[in-house]
Amino acid sequence: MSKAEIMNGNELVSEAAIAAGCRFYSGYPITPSSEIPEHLSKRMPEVGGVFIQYEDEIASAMAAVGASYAGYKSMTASSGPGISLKQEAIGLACMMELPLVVVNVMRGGPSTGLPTRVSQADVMQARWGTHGDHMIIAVAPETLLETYTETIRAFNMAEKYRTPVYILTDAVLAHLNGRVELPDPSELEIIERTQPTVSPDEYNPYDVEKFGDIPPLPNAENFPKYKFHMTGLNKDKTGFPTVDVAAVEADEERMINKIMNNVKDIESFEYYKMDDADLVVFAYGTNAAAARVAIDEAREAGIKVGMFRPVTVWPFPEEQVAELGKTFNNMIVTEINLGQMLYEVERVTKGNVEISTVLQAAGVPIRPQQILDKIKEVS
Amino acid sequence: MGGQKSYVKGVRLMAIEQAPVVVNEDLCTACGICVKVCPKNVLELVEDLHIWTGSMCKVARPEDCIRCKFCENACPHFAIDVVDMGVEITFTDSKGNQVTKSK
Amino acid sequence: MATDYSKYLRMEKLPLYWCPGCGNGTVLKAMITAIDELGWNTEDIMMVSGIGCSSRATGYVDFHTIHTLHGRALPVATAIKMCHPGMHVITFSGDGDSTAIGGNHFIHACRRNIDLTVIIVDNWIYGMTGGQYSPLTPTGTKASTMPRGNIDPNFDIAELAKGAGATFVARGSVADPISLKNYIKKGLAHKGMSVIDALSNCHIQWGRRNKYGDPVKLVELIKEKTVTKTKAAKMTPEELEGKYILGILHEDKEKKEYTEAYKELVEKAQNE
Repeated sequence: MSKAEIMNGNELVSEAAIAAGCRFYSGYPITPSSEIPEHLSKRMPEVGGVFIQYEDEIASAMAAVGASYAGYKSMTASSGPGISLKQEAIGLACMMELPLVVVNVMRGGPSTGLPTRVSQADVMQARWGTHGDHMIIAVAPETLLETYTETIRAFNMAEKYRTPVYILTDAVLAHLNGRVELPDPSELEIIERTQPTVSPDEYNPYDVEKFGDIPPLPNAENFPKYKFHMTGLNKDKTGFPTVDVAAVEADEERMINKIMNNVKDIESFEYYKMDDADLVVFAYGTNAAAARVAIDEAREAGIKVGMFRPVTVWPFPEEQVAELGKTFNNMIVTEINLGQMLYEVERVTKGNVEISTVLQAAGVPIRPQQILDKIKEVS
Repeated sequence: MGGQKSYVKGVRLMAIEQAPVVVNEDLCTACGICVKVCPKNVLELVEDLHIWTGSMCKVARPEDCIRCKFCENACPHFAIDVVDMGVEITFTDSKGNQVTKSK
Repeated sequence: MATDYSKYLRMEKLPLYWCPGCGNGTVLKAMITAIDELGWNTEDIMMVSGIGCSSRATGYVDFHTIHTLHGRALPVATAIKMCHPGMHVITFSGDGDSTAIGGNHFIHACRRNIDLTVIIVDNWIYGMTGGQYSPLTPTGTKASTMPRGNIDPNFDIAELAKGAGATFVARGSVADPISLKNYIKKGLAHKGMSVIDALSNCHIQWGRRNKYGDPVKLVELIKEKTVTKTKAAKMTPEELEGKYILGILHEDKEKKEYTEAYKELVEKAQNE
């Protein structure tokens, strides 16, 4: 039995995290994400979890990494400037192969930018913000309900693949209050990190020879029994630092492949009114809601237009967008930035499709009319 | 004494060596700190060009050791071990004689 | 009673990779001896380090260990302590890591008075990166980024710890490893934020630039530059110039410890 609530995006992320089993939140105040720590400062103690507001963004990201190491499902939330600060910590989670959920409530940038206004200008940062070769998973919910369900899925993927996962919401979704029918907790699929079955003496968290490409990782209950070492240095299958060429190569490739080889499990996208479409709109996040309205209106006017909407934005939906490139002559890419996913679309479609854009980076949502105008122009 | 010994988990060196103070030559870097802090001139650095450090710490006069543990406490490399005061052991002294001491 | 160090070390990782005579090993040994005397189990100990020569210590000890980022051991240690308040949590890192890049985290961990033991291996330099000066490098001495002599004032990290709210602050040195061990032991046993400034010898990076390239001579210099609390009380400010005061410099058993306060908060929330 599900219940209907009036909640905003930030509250939904918070409640979903708790439903997913998150019991550690560390954060720092930053508009427009501050309601997440505010909500969790109240809720975490109620569920026996840990809440700490740290002295800065870096500390709070590092703390979430530490809590994950110690077996807890952990999360930290911020916005542009704070996410920039957290990059080193996120890279540490990548190298240590620790589950971590990072919420970026995207706002206008760069720098201090537009604290109370919307953008989607951090999608490339989510992919490449931290230095070094690494893969990342990122999801971009469109609606309030999707904010909840994608947060659950983000935690599941983080635990399953032992990797950081970004939840990319934005300033609009954060403070949009609406009626949401939350799924019943019993209906939710919650994934936990695989537990070691061997004795502590036989265990280390990187023994891929013995345990497979994604070795088990002790949860909070098992952590005290299993002593192991983790480091941000490149490591071999013993978990200790190495500079050996073969070992480094193998480890780096494995860390990327553990995600890329599982794209079918990680991907999520929507085809909207695409069956008979001869024009496709590429949109994600709250901007897809504007595109949806534009498409419905265009359809009324007889234009056969549809939308491809990635929900998992990283890894990028290569296969699907490449296919669109082959089957369509025209594509409209729309995002609330000056072009970021645009370049991924261009890369993947290899010049097969004529790409038009509806881009804007002024802190306000793109209006459906803007997208409709472009649809009419291109049709 | 001398030669290659490894530090095995759970077994302190002097259980193997049975001398009041023992240097683990695998771990010793001949830094000289123990030689300096020893109040009884038990230890000395001896040149040995077969080792990367060029020298090695040797227990030159074990019979003079008073088991104060200054050397053990000051050694940064876990390379020197001292028997507890009161434990009786029999060992070869610097002149080749067998001696028995408990402190 | 002899300490079996092998109980606390990942023996297969030895020999320690630090320079011959490096004080890192001496401080590590003092910590291990203290732990042995306290009778703790290695399963109950969590050691967190940052980046630097001393921070490599986490690779050598047979505890729960994590080698994090430069300056960031404390937020990680705080989080782990909050998650497992029954564990003994220790941080082990250098003067640059703890007081420069880690300075902000240091202040706030002290402020919270969370039950951690923070061992600062204070060798007056950034050793691993080749001898750059740190906030604790003595003024006037040479470093790779102060080739004409350090113009930066250094400062008393013990005073900062105390001012920020730590409830056990001590200073020891590798010149007197037994006292150092005793301060660490008291800090480990203390329930609250314990900070031990462990003066150490980096004869290769600090020492060689300042004519103390020999470990024995540098340890002797440290001995000359340190003075016990009781002796210092009888000395004039001029006599104390450039000297480091050893001993337990601050102890407060009353201030509430952070995990205790959080536990009460949880109880309050769950009984609402």
